[in-house]
Amino acid sequence: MIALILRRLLVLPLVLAGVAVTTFLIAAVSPFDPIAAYVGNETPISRQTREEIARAWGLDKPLAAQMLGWLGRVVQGDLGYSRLQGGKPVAQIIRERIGPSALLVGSALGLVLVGGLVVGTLAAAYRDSWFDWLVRAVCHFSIASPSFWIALLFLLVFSVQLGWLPGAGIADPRAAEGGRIDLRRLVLPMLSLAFTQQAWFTMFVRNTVLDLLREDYIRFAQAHGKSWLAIVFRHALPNALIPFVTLIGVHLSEILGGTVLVESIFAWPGLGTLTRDAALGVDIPLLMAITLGASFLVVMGNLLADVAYRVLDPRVREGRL
Amino acid sequence: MRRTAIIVLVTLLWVLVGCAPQRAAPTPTPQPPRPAAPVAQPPQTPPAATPTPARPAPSGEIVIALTDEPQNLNPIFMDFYAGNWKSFNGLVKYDQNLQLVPDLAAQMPEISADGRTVTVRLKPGVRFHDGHPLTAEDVVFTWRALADPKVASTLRDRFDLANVLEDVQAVDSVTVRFHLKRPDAAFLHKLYVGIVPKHLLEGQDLNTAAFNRQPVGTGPYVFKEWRAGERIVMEANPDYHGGPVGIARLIFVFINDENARAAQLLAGTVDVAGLPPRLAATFQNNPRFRVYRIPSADARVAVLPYDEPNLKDPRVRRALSMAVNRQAIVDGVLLGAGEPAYGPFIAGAPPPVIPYDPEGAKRLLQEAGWTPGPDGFMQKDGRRLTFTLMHPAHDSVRRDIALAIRSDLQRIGVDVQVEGLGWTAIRERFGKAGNVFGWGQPYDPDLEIYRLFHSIYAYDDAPFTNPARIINPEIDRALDEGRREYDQRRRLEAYSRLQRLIQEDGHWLFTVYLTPIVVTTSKITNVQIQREGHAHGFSRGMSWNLESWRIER
Repeated sequence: MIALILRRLLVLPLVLAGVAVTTFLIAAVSPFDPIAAYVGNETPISRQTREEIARAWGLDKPLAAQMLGWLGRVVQGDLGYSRLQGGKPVAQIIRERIGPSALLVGSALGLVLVGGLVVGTLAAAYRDSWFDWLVRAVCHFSIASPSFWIALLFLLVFSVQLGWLPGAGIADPRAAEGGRIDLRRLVLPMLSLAFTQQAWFTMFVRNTVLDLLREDYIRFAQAHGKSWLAIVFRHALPNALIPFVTLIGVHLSEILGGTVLVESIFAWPGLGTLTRDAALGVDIPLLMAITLGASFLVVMGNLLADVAYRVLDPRVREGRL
Repeated sequence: MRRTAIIVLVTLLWVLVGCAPQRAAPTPTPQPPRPAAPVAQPPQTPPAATPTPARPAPSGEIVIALTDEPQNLNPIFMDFYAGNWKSFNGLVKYDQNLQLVPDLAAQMPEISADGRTVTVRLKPGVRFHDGHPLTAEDVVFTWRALADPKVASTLRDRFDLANVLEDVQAVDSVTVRFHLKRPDAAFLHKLYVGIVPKHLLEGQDLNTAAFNRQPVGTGPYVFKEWRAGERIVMEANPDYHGGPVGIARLIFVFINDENARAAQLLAGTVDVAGLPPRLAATFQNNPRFRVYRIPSADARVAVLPYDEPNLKDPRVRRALSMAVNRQAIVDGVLLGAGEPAYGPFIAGAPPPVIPYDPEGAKRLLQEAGWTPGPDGFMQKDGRRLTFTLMHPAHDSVRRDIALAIRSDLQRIGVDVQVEGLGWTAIRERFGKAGNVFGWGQPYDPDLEIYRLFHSIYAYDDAPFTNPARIINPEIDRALDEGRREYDQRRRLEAYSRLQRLIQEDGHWLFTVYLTPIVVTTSKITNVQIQREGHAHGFSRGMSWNLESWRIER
């Protein structure tokens, strides 16, 4: 167990270095021109000034030198400066954006986990009932529909048409300095993100519980005359939890990807909107930091999933699997 | 159009008469910096000599929706057309009719007889928002930063500083002298750039200075807060040297989607927002709102490909221009929110009107050797008269203009292939295919036009300087004269010649100047409109007198 964690943590820097090099190369060979993005796409600018600006931002050096310089600074904890945001330190930009994103992802994930467990288990318990059919239909609908479309639909229906909830930003723009987060504004982005992510979890729980309900100990419990729901929730569900926990870790990257579009639509000032802006503005230092951070989260998520698996499953813990 | 001539005459008179004898302005004694005055502080008693009548104290707040979040609030890095965010003042500013008037300067700058020295005296007693007095050193610092190749500012290029600015010096604490390498007729316009405080920026890398996102200037509004991705808050400067400010608090929010901007206006969460004509129409007869139309110099131009053999003959290019129905584009594509354009916007030297004449266009094509083929399209030596016109894919207005050009030219037998692409692809294919560009500004022609038409830019392979790769000594001469000639009459003659030459060349097919529309809630009064340029973000035409806006109770 300890050995596993150590092994993974030792591999982590290698993974991140690989990701960094790949991102850098993709950015370098992509046809997008960071200088054009900086000066404005249509701005007529002389060759000479273009070169001066490239020099000012260190974009004139050969690629290898740029990458090594960047890696050297990252190791010292310096993520560089954003060209896109008036030379603001990248670390500071990301710090400012983590809070809103954590709130959104955290609440959506909580909703998905609890909802997925309850709904998936009930669907399995009443297999082929109208409820099960409804759950499956909704899940297939949500897997098939792109997240930005769902988000726009929610925005149109609940904010524009019905006017129940505000559909933009994180706080009232007129609020006094340091305005508090307005939780009503969290509802729509949270629901959109949860709705697009829940299907995997719900279907997963349903199928796992269905498999478990075929086990002998369930029949045994039935023979004892216990109520069906009690059996499902007391005997089948705990065993379904084990693979479910691992799914969270593995699925983390999906959720992070989902925030980009959902945040953009609801003007939520988190990492998703930032990623979009960084990509559109070819802001390489910012993009690199975001990619590295996301890779770190995904690796850690997978590690946590493995650890949780070992903690929860006695068979793995005792090395019989 | 004659206004420019008049103002320049007045300016010349200033220079000739020597601007009323100067009393040596007292050097402001440096004082310890005061903290930026919070709004709650009792209003400073204005000095007795202020001629401005007493006005009510700033009150109320408004929310202004921008399409995009700004990147940088430091005037050194700002787009020249974007206004200066009201945290800063330049040495000069524009009045409603785009005439230059003093701002931080005590009077209009003096130009020496040889046109190589420009002297500016500063208004006494101006302070930055942190209480530091403004001195000539701040002006020198700002301009040396602009000219510094290590500072990644596009203004150095726009102002041609490498070839214009020899040096800038502080003669004394309130006098600045600019030494120019060549006469520069547009130089006074460049002095519009906001002045930044030396004491807060000295010794820093300006490209990454925290100041870029926490600006401190002399302007009517004091920067208060910038929450990334959310809002920027500014508050009225109680000590503003330009007199009392109208609205106490400005809140800028960033809403990219036009439908969302309209919805927020209706919901009352936003007070000011730019809208496309289609959406603005729904606010037209609503008493809760006012609709402002802002005339602009922002032209939409189909720049024809210089590498297309079918378009080598200038007669063909001129025929295309005659066949485009510009008024129909204004009415149909822009729903009336635009003006026909026949050349770059130059106040006092308008381009000749090109009448819509498809029959004449056909005759001109036949004169150039093209004849109608069996498929109805013009042909010559078995080649069909065809070319490709690109437009940035995300811009629906440019797409519609490109499609309108296609259908107009189809009528005279010219086959236009329209393609919407990303900027990267446009940059790579430009020359082989034409593109619908957006350029233009109403301030001083030389700030932009030189690099778009002069042959020295035909050889450097930058994609958007002289994009049609025009090499024409007559055009060069007109541009050089317009750039160096301080005599306004001679200057306008040169630019009128230039307008004619550009039309004769025909690579630039001008279609319309846009008229952006801004909707505000009706409680906001005293808004004045100024003609604006190709603005990105916070448009100058609407906001140039933001400090005078008021809220009606």
